[in-house]
Amino acid sequence: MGGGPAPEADDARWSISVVFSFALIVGAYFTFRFSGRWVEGDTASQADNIRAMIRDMTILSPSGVLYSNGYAFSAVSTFIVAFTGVKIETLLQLIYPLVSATLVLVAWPVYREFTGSARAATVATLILFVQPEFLFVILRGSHERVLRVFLLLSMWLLLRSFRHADKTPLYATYVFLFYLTVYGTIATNSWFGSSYVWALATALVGSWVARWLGPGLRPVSLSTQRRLLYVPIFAGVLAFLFNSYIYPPSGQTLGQIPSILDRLSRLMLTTSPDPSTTRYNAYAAIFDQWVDIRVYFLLSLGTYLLLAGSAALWIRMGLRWLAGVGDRPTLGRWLLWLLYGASALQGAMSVVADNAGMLGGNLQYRSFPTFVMMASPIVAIGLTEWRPKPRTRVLASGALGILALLGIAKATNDPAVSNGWSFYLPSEVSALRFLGDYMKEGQLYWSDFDERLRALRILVNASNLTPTLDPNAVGLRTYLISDIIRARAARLGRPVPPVTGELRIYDDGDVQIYRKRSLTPYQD
Amino acid sequence: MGAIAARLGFLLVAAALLAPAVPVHAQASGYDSLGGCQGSWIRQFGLDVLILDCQPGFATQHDRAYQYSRTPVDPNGDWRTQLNTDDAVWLFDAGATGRASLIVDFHHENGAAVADFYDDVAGNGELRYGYERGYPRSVESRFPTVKVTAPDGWWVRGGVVNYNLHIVVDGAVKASFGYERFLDQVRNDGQIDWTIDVHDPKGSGRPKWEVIQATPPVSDEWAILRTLVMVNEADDELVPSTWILWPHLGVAGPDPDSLPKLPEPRPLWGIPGAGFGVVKNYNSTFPPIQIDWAHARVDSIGEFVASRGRPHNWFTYSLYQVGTPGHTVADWENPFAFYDLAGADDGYPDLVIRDADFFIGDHYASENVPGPSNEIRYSWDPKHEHKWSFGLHLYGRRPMPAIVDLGNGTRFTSVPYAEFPRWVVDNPWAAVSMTAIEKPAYWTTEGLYEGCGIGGDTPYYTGQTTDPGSGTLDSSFVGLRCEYVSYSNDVPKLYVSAVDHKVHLVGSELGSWQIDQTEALRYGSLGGPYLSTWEHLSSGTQVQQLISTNGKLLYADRSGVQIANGPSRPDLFEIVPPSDGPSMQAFRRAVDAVTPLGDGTDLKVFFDQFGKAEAVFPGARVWDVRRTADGFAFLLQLAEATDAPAWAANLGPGTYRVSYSDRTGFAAAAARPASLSLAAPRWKGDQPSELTPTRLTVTVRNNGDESLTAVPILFTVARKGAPGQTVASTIVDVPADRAVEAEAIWPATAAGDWEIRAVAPGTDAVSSDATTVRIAPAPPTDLSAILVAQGLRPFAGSAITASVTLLIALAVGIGLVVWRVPRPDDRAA
Repeated sequence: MGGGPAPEADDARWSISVVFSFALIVGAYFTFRFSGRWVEGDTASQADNIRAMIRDMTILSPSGVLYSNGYAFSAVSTFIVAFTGVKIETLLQLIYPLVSATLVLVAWPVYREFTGSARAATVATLILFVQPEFLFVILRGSHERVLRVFLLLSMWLLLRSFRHADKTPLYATYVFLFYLTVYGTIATNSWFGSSYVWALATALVGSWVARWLGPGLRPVSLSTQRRLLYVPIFAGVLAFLFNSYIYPPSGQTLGQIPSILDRLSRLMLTTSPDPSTTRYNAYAAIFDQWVDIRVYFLLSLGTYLLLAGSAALWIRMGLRWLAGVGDRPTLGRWLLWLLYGASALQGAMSVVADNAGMLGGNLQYRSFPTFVMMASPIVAIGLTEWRPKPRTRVLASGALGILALLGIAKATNDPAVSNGWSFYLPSEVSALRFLGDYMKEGQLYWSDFDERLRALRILVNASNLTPTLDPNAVGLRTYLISDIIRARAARLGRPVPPVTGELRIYDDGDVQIYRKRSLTPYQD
Repeated sequence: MGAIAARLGFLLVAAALLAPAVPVHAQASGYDSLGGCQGSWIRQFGLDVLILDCQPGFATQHDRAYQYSRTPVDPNGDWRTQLNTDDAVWLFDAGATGRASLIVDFHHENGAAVADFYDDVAGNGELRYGYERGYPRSVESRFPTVKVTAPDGWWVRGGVVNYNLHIVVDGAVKASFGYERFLDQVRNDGQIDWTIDVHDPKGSGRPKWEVIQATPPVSDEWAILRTLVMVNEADDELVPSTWILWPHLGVAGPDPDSLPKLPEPRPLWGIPGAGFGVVKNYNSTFPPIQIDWAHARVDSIGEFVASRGRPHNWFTYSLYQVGTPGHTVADWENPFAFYDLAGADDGYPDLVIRDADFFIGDHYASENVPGPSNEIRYSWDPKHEHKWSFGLHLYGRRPMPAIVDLGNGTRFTSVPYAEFPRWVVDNPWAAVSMTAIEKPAYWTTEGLYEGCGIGGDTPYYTGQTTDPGSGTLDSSFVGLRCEYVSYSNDVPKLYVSAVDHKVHLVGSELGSWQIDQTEALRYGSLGGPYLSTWEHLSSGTQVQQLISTNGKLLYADRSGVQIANGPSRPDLFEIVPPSDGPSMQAFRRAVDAVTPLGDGTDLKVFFDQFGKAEAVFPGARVWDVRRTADGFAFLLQLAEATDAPAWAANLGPGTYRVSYSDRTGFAAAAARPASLSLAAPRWKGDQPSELTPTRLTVTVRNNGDESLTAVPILFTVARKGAPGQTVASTIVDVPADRAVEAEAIWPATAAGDWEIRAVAPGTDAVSSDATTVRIAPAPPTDLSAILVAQGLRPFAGSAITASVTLLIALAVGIGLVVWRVPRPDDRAA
């Protein structure tokens, strides 16, 4: 036995270290681009959920404040907060984005199992971390970083169990851990967990069909079938138990599926102007979010390249296997190919659900990161098989750098290019606290054109007052207007509410709070 | 040891043999609906089972019931003496179909008498059951749908029914008022959905009060009635005289379409109204646990103590739970009280008071009307003839004055029953409206609902309009006369008008009486506490007009205008809303003593009661009547020349401003036409800037004698020397010889100097002088400006740049390495 690690292991360590550093810098940039003062709706809701879990000491808070799709993220965060004493805001805003870099440590081994190549794993992981839609969901304070860890871990365990099917104790360990991570996925978000189970079921069916299509596919198809046969059943039972007994609120989301079909049929079969049958346009708000539509397309360049590239490579890969050209598929690549197809199918179904206006109308955004997780290694396989000339190599590397820049700019909603600002000022927090301290409970106030300060109110637990986005809402007399809001008004070309000449009840230089004068004796 | 055991065994057997058969079914005074039953016995699983075959039955024409007694019975005795509702299982077969409709398990737990009700929870119209140790037991659920407990250990003793009961409900039973909101959420699942405690503190055989706690599995956000308390202050609650076997077991409604001829006494199902649901009716009472025998379901648990069906009762329906430890703040209908001030004792109230109350921080209050707030309905029937005649609606922000303690831990914020009427009539309220019923009959169990729309979520109260009349005076209620004070802060007072001899509200601003579909009276005030203007409208057109002010009367109709001396006082007398027996009697006498003026709708009759007119102007018209410093003024349009009275002598046809002074009398002068002038506009508030709406204002003056209403005012802006464009507008009323401010918001969309003018358009368009306003530019939104706005420290920019550079470098570096010439050790799959 020679001393020291093998060159292969050296290469792997080097690759992981570099990609991990990359992810760490991305996380640090996300955190410190706004000095840690960023907020968005899901982060705020999760803060509220964690707070309720700590306060009520149960995963099912009687106050009704809970994440209806799963408890795992709140439970993990509650554990960390209880164990370390760190503030919830600090955890979500400063620590978690950095922690997200550890996804590299899970993603890289999974992709190596899928692709069979350390180099392809490195490229796939890099692609994953320059993809803005994926970056956004794992960097913000939502459940997705935990969800992605469970998803990747379960895939890794599944692949390892394939490999060690002949070593019973090891196989049993992998299988046990696999179901544990599947449960973790479901407990984090039962919708995604169930989607994952469906994806595995789709892969099983695809594999079953493939055994009849070509002799080259028969061996992998049989292996996949053997291992996957019981997975959808057992995982489905887990999902059922979770939704029905362990965490009933999550069953309500899945309960919407029949109404998706109902709404779609009404959408397709009626000409009624009834709002309930009006097509929901999930894309309408996208273009308003960016300073220019061209900027939006530029920032999305990597996404489009990934979509087109992965689709082309997936088709080519499949056709080659069918034709018996080149190497036969390995078990990893075969499963990757199947899961890519399954996630693409789910993406298509998400578009349908969004058109029906169900499940928040943003399912395609939510399912896209899962597709990205499958598309990245497909593209990486193609890229590592590519042998560019030196000049092209430099250009391609430069393109990767540009994609990294565009990805981080889009993922952070950088105010230079985005109209959907997510940062805030300390003085805005103070003003919100003032409102909480001095306004009567239940009264309305206006603060900003979108959810920014509404989310901030929840994140920092500033008040129990009711914010509204409608500056003309009945009963609304209080308006919080900051320099940031004035700048946003200028950026959006929208006037701030008409408060000049009204009572300025708070002013710290950056933020003013106005209260409209009483029009009747009853407005006290 | 064996010998001792044998002796003990012998003693036990002997004791069992010597003990008499002890059926325990103490009979209350009343009828148990078993008169049509024949009893027989069978021996089953070692038990003597009593079978009652009933024609007519307890629920239909032919029913059966089976008694499985746990205590010894005597099959040879009269079956009636063997009935056992103390320790036996009863299986009911309504319709004698061979299927079970209900199982009631009477037994004892810790000294308390208990009755467990099992019904069909599967929804197939039949209660499936099996036998356990010979006793029937539901196989559909192990949880009773209803469990009734008498902690005293008995149901009936000495003919007295025990009304100290604790009832828990687990399942979709209509067990409290407002159950519709959440009934579909509850299941028979072992979780208690309602708890009902009935109290008879004196043990008199009448329930005095009950409290219902609704605890369905719904979020706190749901505005459901969580605690319901009903109290009988006179301790005269009616109790059922007919039931099914056991004093609380009844039948669910509705009444059968046609009842067959039944022998007397009739079984419960043959008595109309027996299935009363949740709310007890006047002067009737039936067993509260109502079974839907056809569907084998416990349908409802009605009130033991009437909420609104007795004249000395009151209730509280609270959205917040009260009556449990730490929960004492009630809201919503708190209290809702009924009184028999006439002492008629006929089971009907003649005063009903309901307070819809929200406390400070009440989550169920409208966000536009934060607590504390009270919306009170105060209805009375002065002649106690079961017709609501008058009602007050009062709005105010007053906390509950006391904690009402009923005992057994049930205490909460409210107004004590005895003090409630005086609390209402002796306290000042922010706004009051009065409704008088001018149609033959109006009756509801909750008093008079209709008011003029004051208080709560109405446009004036939420500041959406400055017009108090907005949203009030609904003309759809024919036969109701309504008037209101939009801002009073005084105790409610009434008076009988000297002009129309009707009861009115002191301080009324506006009023309305929708006589029928086309005819209506409108009331108004020129200021002061009494109504002073009457209008009779026919299909919306004014056909008569009467003004009473400063001791003068002006009457106008199509024939012309007449002026006469009016009443020296606007009221015949003031009177307070009745709050006790004497004041109710005084109110009735006072109102009865007033002679009605015709049918109360003809204004000419009102005018004529005061004698001959001192001035008559044929074909004339009068309008724009308003109070002045020492009298009143109006515009008079004469159709023909007149020479009398003296102040109108030699006036030719035309329009005149007539003024009346208490010191100098009438005077007339030619009316100046309305004439507007506009001052230069100004801006208010912060320095105007781009995209920050600027508040523009202008003083509008009417130099004429005729008031103008709905005058549009436009604001135009222009660059210096350029034509203007209208950017804001508003509408104002400008009284005669007065100035008002007109305001509008201009959302300036471009920076720089602007010339602003105000314009009153029309045939005599008026324009103001120009005012120059400088609009500051909007803040910059480029990256550097945003970085500055973010308040980032100087090194932040460098750090951001450095980290981005590093990211790009790493990505490029990985690319360069990946696409290097492949090494032989690159790992294969």
